[in-house]
Amino acid sequence: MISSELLIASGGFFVAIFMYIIADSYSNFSNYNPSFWPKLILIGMIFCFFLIAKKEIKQRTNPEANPEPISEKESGNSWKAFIVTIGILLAYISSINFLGFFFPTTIFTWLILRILGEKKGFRAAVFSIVFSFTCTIFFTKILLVPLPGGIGIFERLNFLFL
Amino acid sequence: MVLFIGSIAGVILGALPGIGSTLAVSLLIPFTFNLTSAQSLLLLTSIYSATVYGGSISAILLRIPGSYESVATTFDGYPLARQGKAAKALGVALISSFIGGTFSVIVMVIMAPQLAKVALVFGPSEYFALGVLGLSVITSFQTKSVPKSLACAFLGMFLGTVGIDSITGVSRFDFGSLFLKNGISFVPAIIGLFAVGEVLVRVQISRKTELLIHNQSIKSELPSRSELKGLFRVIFQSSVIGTIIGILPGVGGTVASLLGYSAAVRTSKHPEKFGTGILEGVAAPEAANNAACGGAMIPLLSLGIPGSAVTAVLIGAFMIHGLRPGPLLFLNNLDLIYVIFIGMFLTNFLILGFGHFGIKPIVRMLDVPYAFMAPIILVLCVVGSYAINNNIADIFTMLVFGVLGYGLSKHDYPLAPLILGLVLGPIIEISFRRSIIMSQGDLSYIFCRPITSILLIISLISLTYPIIKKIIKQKERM
Repeated sequence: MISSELLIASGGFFVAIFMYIIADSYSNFSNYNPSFWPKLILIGMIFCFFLIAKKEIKQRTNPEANPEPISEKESGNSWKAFIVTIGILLAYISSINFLGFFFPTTIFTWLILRILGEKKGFRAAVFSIVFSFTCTIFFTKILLVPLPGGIGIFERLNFLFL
Repeated sequence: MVLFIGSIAGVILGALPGIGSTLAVSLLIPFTFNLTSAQSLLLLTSIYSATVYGGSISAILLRIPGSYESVATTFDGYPLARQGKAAKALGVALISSFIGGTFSVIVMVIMAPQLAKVALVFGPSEYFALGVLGLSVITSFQTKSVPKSLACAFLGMFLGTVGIDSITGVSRFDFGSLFLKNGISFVPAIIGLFAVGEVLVRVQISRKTELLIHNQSIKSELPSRSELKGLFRVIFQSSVIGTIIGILPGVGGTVASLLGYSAAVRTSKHPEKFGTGILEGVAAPEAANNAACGGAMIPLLSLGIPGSAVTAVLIGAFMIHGLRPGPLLFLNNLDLIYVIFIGMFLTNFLILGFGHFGIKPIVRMLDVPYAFMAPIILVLCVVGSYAINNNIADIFTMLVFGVLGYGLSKHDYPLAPLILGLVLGPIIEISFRRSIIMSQGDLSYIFCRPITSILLIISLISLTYPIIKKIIKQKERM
């Protein structure tokens, strides 16, 4: 199985080659061509990712230098929490343009609290509402920072808080 | 008022484990839009100074450095706390931070204007060399792999090329997107890399992390006159080391505190006691890391070259207000420079007051579970990214950089070279191409100018020295 380390290095290597081909197309624009600098950087990137990948392959083929992988339980890592957090964050960002700031922030805060182990649902709900309300007032009234207002009925609902 | 808020917020954010000075400053940049440039720079520089001190609180009480700069404080701070001397350790950390910070601000006030005068005669080729010098330190960062540091710096420089080329007007790597034509938004990128990336890393391990507060003494006890007399030599020595290390690009407060600590061990009459819980072991790193703050501001203000991740982030704050740090700032905005000088000076006094009288609520805050911290940080990141242009696309930029920051951090790719590359890459490119245009393609124009050639030689030494040192060490082991 390909290790994540090798995946990143080889991914970086191939992306840099792809970008180099794109950069090459800028050469015809002028004498002081805009492709020189990106091409120079991309050569450096290709070289570095090649070295990282080479080292990783060497380590994997040498069993002495290749330690036993640590299980998720031992390392304390929780991929589930991570992936769910990313998913919720993505949904939150996508929704605030339509639903406005207050409602998605309340739901987002509550969900993150629950995922990260807050067992008391009521405490999480109260915290989420108070936090979202404080944020809305603090940013819009004190710092005068505009927040997404939402559209349609949500715009009118958010207006109640502003 | 701004200084007061900045100092308090800085001490609190610095004390909270996982929120270092870079994260704190990058998180708060967008909230300075509606402040004047003087107010916002005062707020951010005071937060920068205060977070470095704040890190010592959790380093002493929890053995978890609140900011990276306080890692050496754990060596003697935590053993002192276990001996029931937490109050004394906190007091020594506070007074050492105050002396170190004040010393470096005085050096900054004297040195920065002189350096700016010299920099006024700089042309594009000198700026090209200065940019290269700023980047050359990437091999010095505390990293397990030099290729990874270099790859991150190249990645940052590459991202800096996205958008319309200012010399020819050609749009590069935009893939037909109007959003990318304007280039990568700097502030959402740094918020994503440092704040979102850090939260994602901690979310994955958060349930296993429990804070063990040492509750025996929630107060700060300043050292007596005789204790202070005994510590004076160590504090002064570390202040000098910290200021010099701060000026050197790329080295930063963490190395300053470690060097301050090791110098204190070497010059001590009782080196064997270090690590067991002695006051010198707290005073040395704390004076050094706070002195590095003022030192790091010298090249930023006078040359416009950031030497560390925090100062690179501070450039973003200058840019938001239409300012460019460097010698011209001394000509056109001298009042602003003096506001920063006075502000950083006063911040040290505010930290002294707040660190002494406000320690109780800070320590209580250390008990807040990360489950509550994570959504607060993430929502602040979202609002901060959105507030720049009122554009949802900036929030997506933040998320993309957050995932990138997470992936890189998890695989030991350092983030500081990426940010330095993003900031310095465009400066190097534009200066280099301007020099070429001025000399009509003659490369000797760049490399034969005295200041440029000296700076480039220093850059070469700075870039290759850590690599050569590593190779020699490896050969010695074989």
